[in-house]
Amino acid sequence: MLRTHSLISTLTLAATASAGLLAAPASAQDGNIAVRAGKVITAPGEVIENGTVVVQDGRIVAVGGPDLEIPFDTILRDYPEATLFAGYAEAHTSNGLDRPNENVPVAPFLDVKDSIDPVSFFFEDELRGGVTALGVIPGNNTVIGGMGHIVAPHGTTVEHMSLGDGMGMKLAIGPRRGWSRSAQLAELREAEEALKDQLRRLGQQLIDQQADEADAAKAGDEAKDEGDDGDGNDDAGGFIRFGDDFDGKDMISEDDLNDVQRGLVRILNGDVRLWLSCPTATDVAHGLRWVEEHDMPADMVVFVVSANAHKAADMLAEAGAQVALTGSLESVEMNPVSGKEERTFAPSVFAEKGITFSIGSEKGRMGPDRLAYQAALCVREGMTRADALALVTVNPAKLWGMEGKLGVVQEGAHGNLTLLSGDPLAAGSQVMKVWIGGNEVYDRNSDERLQRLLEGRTK
Amino acid sequence: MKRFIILGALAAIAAPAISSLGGEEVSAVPTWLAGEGELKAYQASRIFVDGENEVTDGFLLVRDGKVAAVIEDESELPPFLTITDLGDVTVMPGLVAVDSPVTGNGNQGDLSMAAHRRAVDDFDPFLDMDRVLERGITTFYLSPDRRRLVGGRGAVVKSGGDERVLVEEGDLRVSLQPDAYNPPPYFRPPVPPTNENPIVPAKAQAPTTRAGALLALRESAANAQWGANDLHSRAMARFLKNKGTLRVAAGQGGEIRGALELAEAWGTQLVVDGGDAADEMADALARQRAAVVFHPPLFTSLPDLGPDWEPPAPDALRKLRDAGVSVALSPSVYGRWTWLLDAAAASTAYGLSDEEALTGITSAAADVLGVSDRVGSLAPGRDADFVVLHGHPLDSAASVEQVYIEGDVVWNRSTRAEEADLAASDAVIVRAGTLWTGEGAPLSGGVEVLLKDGKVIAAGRTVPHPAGARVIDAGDEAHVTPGFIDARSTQAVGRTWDPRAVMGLLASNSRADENWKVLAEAGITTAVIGPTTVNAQGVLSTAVKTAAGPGSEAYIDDRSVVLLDARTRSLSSLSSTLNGTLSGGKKYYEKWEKYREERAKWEKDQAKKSADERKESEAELRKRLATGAKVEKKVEETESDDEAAPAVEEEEEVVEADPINGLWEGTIEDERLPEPLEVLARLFHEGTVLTGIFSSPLAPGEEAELQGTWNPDTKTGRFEIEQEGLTITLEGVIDAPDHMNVTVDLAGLGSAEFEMNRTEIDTGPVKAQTKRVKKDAGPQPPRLDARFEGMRALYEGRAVALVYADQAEEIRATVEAFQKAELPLAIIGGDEAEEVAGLLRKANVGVVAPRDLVVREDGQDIVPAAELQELGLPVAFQSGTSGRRAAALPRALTMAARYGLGTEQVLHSFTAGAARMLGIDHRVGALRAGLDGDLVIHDGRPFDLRTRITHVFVNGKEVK
Repeated sequence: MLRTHSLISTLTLAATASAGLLAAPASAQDGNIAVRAGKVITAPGEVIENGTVVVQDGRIVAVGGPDLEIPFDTILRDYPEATLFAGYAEAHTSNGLDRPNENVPVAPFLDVKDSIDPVSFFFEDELRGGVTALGVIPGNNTVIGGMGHIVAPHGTTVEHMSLGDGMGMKLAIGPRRGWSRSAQLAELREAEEALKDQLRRLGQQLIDQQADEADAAKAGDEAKDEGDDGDGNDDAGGFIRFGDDFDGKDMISEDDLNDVQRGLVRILNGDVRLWLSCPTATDVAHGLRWVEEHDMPADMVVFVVSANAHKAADMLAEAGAQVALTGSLESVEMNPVSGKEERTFAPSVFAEKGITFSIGSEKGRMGPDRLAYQAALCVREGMTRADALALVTVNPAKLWGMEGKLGVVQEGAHGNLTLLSGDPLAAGSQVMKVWIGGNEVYDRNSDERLQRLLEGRTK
Repeated sequence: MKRFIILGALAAIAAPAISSLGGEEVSAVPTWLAGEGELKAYQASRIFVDGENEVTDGFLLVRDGKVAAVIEDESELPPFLTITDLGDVTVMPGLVAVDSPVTGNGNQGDLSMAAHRRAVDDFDPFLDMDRVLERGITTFYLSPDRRRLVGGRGAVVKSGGDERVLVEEGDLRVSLQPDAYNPPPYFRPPVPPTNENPIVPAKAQAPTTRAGALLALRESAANAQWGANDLHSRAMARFLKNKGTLRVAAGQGGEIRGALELAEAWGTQLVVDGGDAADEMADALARQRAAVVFHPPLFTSLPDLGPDWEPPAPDALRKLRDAGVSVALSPSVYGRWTWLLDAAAASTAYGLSDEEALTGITSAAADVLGVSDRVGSLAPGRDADFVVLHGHPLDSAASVEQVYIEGDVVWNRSTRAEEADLAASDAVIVRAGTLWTGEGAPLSGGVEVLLKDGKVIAAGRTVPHPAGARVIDAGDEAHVTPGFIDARSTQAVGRTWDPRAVMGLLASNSRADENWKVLAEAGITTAVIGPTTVNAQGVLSTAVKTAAGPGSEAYIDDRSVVLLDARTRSLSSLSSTLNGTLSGGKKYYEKWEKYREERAKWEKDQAKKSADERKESEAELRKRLATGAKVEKKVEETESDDEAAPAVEEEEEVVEADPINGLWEGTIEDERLPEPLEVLARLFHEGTVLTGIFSSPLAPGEEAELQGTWNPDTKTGRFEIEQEGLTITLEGVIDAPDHMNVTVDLAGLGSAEFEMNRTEIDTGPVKAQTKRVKKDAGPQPPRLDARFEGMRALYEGRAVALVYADQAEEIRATVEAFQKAELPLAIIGGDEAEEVAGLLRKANVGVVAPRDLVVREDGQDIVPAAELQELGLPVAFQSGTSGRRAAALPRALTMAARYGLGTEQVLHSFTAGAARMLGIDHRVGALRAGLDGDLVIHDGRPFDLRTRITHVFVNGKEVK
């Protein structure tokens, strides 16, 4: 149900097919590299002329000027004309999955790592576009969608691609296709209520079990370890950390629960980052209310919105919410009084209100399918270049809780680097090379598909 | 817990309001004076505290978004309080819509019973509320799913303000109506499916009948009370325990009986939604203390109501109210839910009083929704949600002007149109006590006039009320009259005047003149403008609107007045002079008539000829097509044939381009012109002699050929046009190749500057071009003769002659000459007119009374106009002057009225009578549908010294 059988065969086939295409050239040592470039953008707005970056074991260990000392065993690559930066980051996408959502509306047990297709053309194309990190998470046509992962667009297995511990859980406030908002919210409430009811019963059950076993122990049949809650699976308990107290609450441990319950408890405990799908401003209003009702910390919730949500920008700013803007950057609405079309550029509104947000690409549209283009649009609409670049580098990292690890070139960050022929927001800039974890994974000169595209079919 | 004994509730609400209106507790310091926050005061001519209590000329006091008090006495207001005077308007509590289709229209899931569903979850706080606010609705109900047995919990929200949601979990809505029957089967696969929790087939759901519905509800309640553990049951249990409000959609008697049973069994408050037949069970409903939401039928088109539809009984609501059942109102599904005011007005047809009807959309509605502590009344402590209306709320002319929520304006008709970049409606409804249409006796006792698009749309006892119309209620004392007509004025005109050259320009130009405004403000909306000196040949004059924008509305363009002077020293030659003028005019007119006929015939022939040609060529084309001959070339030939009759012969010879020869085009854009005037000029020079042929698309077929001078050194061309002493100078300087700056000077009357560009360069020999350019080969118009243009207008029936004649003989000669020529006539001046009254009456000739309205003769004060009227002659009045003096005419007439000229006579002669005499009664003079929207509002009887003019409208626009 969750994984198609054909996936495995596709995987095998595709892996074989692309093995020669994007295979990294053999480097002296895995994950060790030093790159020097005419310009190194360490963070948006911070540039080192003729900077040097040293990566060891997949992490950046040193960033400095042209005189930076290079370890003796590391090869230095020098690109005096080029620009080096951490690569673009796509904060939220459901591409690269065999399908974005399952049919089950409440599916907290799902995890995209079972669904990511590492050799899909999507990842190959993202790599070609200079993207070094993507947050892949189930789609929005759901109630509770499942766990997402932060991955690099390169690797033959999900583990190989993975860049972190996990991105968080998808929760949709915006209704599923064909549902009304009240049906959506009732379903969410129903899942929560049902869980609480089940937990109460379980607690009672555990208490009864303990009493039984205590009776048995009294009878002297066998000795029991201290601290055992009696269910024989574990010795901890205390997994439930939300809601009102009830009998046996402390005794419930993670292993006592099934997959659905475990996932829901982790949401309600605040153990996982929540990606709250709220496409419209109305959904944002309901989403904020949900977050408030559940007392979630603002930094553990990301509102996944569309441009329409600009109308709720004040509410988002007031709540200190983090926002992942997806799809088109522009909201087009009809003024109901005059019947005229009104256009609003959502990033400008969010920026004006001081909201931490990211922007995403729009698949299927030439131009907006590149993050560089989207960020450049923000510059056109009045943002500074540094602020616009932040929307596709450091801000996604912030939303992932990976600040300082991704989206920047600094000591301790992942050795993900993208080498461009020019400025990251310039239309004429080409992606020359990409390193992930210090390994060269893309080279424009050996990108056969691109070459064929550019040169045309010769035979 | 809510109380549905509406009278009791109202009394409780109203009590503090009434006491603060100043009854017994005069000595006590009003409680509203104490308190933090800024106090704001709104003054209005009528304030409804709720449906039943109103204050005239009172103040609504607001503090921190809440109503502080409604008081009547200005002296109670604290000093230094800023008062917002809302004007002559009605202020009432924001309307409470007890039902709305904003939510609950399906898609809420398959569950037939879902008490856990909440309508507030479907609430879109970003939904545009313009359509809701424009109807004065500040609070409305959100319904859960209507087509389910148990739809869920309703909610109450506001249409603006910061805090939008008033009630999150409101009444439980149950539908006993057939549209809730036969819900879809319910299917929900378990996740993950296990042996203990297997996938089961879709479950059929109740109800299929009303009995089934009631059974399912009882069963569901029982399950809930026994502790069933599904979401619906838990929500049901909570509802039953807290004794919320049960809202039952029930139409027929049986459904209402079912609703009563449920409410009794569950011990909950009952609201019967849609009780058209509720009156049959009024007593039972009263015993249960139930409220009824009544939906008066309102339509804009005739809906398919089905064969069984019956309108509610005429006393349906009366019965309910008499039994003590509270009634809230909401339009039926056939109308828009926002028509609350209309629903209230319509419900009076079912037995409600005006007060009860207003209560049904304010306090009673708030009571049904459980929010009467917040909204539905302007009693102290309630939210300052109020509506500012023109007129009484139940009046069909009532229009919502502003809406306030919690003390802040959330909707404003005037700014909203601006915001949305829309033109606001220009419709104006004038209300007054008495209407003078200009004809016959006045209509008293409350009248209305509707002005729209610059015209009178209707005038009478009541008129249509278009949405958004501005209502000017001048009060019962006020009189409305048509705009006055000055039959002879020299406003803004010099000694001479060439109407053909400068009429349009003058009429608009003079708008900058402050004197026009003074005239308009005095009530004179139309004035016949002509030069100060009048000759015996007749000069054209025009009836001009004293206040109007540029364009054809600025004057009456299709009718003229021809001014003649028949005053003479030699009476013997008068007849022959007049006859000479008239016959000369006739000859000139006949020349034009002949041209017109010939031209028409020629054009007809041309059309026939070209049609024949086309037919022929088409036939030939067809023939060629049939024979397969080459077609393309023939098509080209056909086209060039159509362009036969070339206008100007073109010369191919190329010589060096001359700086000025050629076709010049330009546009005179001047704010004084009614519209931009396009000018074409073909210029060519021979040495220093410059010849120009001027034409304009505005006057097709008419060209003026002028001779001027050309100075090659300064590259300046200059034309001087002498016309009846008026010198018009045209001077063009070529400042760049093919570009000329032109200055037109109208003999000191004004000047205009414009640019011309050369679009064609004439390089050929100049001589060939000096011939007058003919437009085509057909008959050409005769040469214009300004002296006889007035006469031509008379003969063509476009004008009325206004002849200066004082002595009896002069009048007699004039009348006879005009009678002979069968031309319309009126006498102006006419000192001795009464002596020839019989002749004038017989010839139906009116008299424009002399400027001296009251003269002293033989020790007696005589009003000549009155004497003429007594003799049965039509009379009009003239100022005969210009500037601010002309504005004194109505005052002079007021004095004349005191000397025996009756008010009705003055009014008629000053409006409709004058219009008829001058032949302009198709545009002005009366308040009749289709005529220009010119009217004057007086605060009392017109032509009384105590009366002031309060408003003047010209072409539907107020003169300010």
